Amino acid sequence: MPIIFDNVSYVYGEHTPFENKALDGVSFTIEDDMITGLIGQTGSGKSTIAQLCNGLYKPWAGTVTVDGEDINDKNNKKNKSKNFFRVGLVFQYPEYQLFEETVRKDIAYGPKNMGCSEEEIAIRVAEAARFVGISDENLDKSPFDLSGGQKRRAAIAGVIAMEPKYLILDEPAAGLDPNGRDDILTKLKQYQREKHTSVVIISHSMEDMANYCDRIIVLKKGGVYKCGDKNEIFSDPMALSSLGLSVPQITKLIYNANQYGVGINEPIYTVDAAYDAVMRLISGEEST
Amino acid sequence: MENVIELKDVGFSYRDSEGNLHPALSNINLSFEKGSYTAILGHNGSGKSTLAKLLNLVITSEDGKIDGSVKVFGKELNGQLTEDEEYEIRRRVGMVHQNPDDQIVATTVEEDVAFGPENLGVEPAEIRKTVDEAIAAVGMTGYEKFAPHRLSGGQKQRVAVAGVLAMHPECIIFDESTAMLDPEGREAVLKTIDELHRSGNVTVITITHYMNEATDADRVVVLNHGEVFMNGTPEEIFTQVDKLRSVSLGVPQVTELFYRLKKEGVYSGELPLHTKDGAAALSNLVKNKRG
Repeated sequence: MPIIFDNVSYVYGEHTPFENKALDGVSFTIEDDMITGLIGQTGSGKSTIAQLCNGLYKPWAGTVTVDGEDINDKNNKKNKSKNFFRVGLVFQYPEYQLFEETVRKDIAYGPKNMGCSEEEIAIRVAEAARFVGISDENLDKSPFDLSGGQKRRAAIAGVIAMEPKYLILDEPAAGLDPNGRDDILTKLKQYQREKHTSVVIISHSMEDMANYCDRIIVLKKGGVYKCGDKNEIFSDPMALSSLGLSVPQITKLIYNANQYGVGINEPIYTVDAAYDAVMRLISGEEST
Repeated sequence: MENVIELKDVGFSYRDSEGNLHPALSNINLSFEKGSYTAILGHNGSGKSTLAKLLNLVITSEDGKIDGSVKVFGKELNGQLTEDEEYEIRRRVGMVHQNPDDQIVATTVEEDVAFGPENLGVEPAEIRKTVDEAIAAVGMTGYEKFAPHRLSGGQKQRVAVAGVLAMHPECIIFDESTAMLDPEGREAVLKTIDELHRSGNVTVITITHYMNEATDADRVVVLNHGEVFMNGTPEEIFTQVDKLRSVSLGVPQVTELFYRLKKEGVYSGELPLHTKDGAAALSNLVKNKRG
């Protein structure tokens, strides 16, 4: 079942001079079994939404429904703690939160707190390590002896080990080199495809969003500007730049080339798609 | 042109708490001209940040073993410096870090930007002017009285840049300063970098994982395992797609497309780095094929 935001508002610093309405009556649905991208300028409410999804924040108005249950229902207090495990949240730079002596213990921390048995914990740790690509050898190292990319994986594995139904990641690839980025996002996509969970990625990299997400929610100053599949979202570069966002460089290239009359009419947001379109155009023209 | 930074046979090894040395840089020979704009690329752990930190004494011989000669504004940093000399180097070589939260100290934007010049003992009237100019340079005018923690990440990063600008540095190192920013925030910081560079007075060094950003520089240096792996103009560097991939780096999407078209034998010109020349090249390609 999806996560449903119904007319949700959230206010920071209520009744202070710094009162700031971070979300203003937003309604949208995070669909099951796919990767949803959340994009928007800083301050548009992305991180607020992430924290509302798992109950760290309580809506000021409106309801957040997860698996058909209002997660802030006062008559169902149990719901709240259940929801922490149901919706896994990976914050920005999660490796700063690693603290155990070994990577293995760090990944085990979540399932241990959930009351899993020793055998269950071992299974979950192995599974989570496999998903993110941490070798057995690295499991017994101190997390502080790992490289930046490996630390990031260890931190993500710690959340995956809780087997959340929904996994929300805030900038999971920030600060990693190009190979590291592709690698971690590919692993997340494999995880989603294998587990059929719902994965939400918050990112400022339009290239990454275009490559890895299925559906995209665009936020604008605390409201939802547009939801749709990525073809639809990236087909209008002008609208996105007016929101202070951008489209992938390749989309911009095709857009500019079309101004010269190149005539590629389908939406292009990956290098693969651009390559295919150009090749088709060239060979198509040759054959006629 | 005068070189503001000259590195000769530079090496550096970190010393851990047990006294063991871990090499991070070796055989670095580089010089940076006054007013130039250099992008340093390399995968995580390639030594980029270590190199940058050597240039403004964030890393000193207390942190490990420095080899060779690190000359910054004519001063040899691999040796004994007086406290005044250290301050002087740190003022002349400013640094903007990845996480703005690590570099903001005060409770309002203007106080934060004033922190540097205040500590240098600048006159109050002069401070006001410097702070206003620095805040305007990063497009944050109107936010002077805001508490930094209430700003977005991109805004905070621009405040951090303003804080460095207020020290009137002659060289600024941006250490992945756009990594946490949204497209507009990144655009604003890049525009600031571009303007600083155009002014001709500031030598700019950026460390980045975004290949698109590096194409704006005059020169690109690629580090690998602590050594200089490539050094040239963006055109020279980004057309060597396979070589860059061999060290975990990539090329801009535009370049990648043309690289693949060239490999397929349908394109034979130069590999474009920017959307503008890419669009023109694509248009020519399609027109030629259409006859």
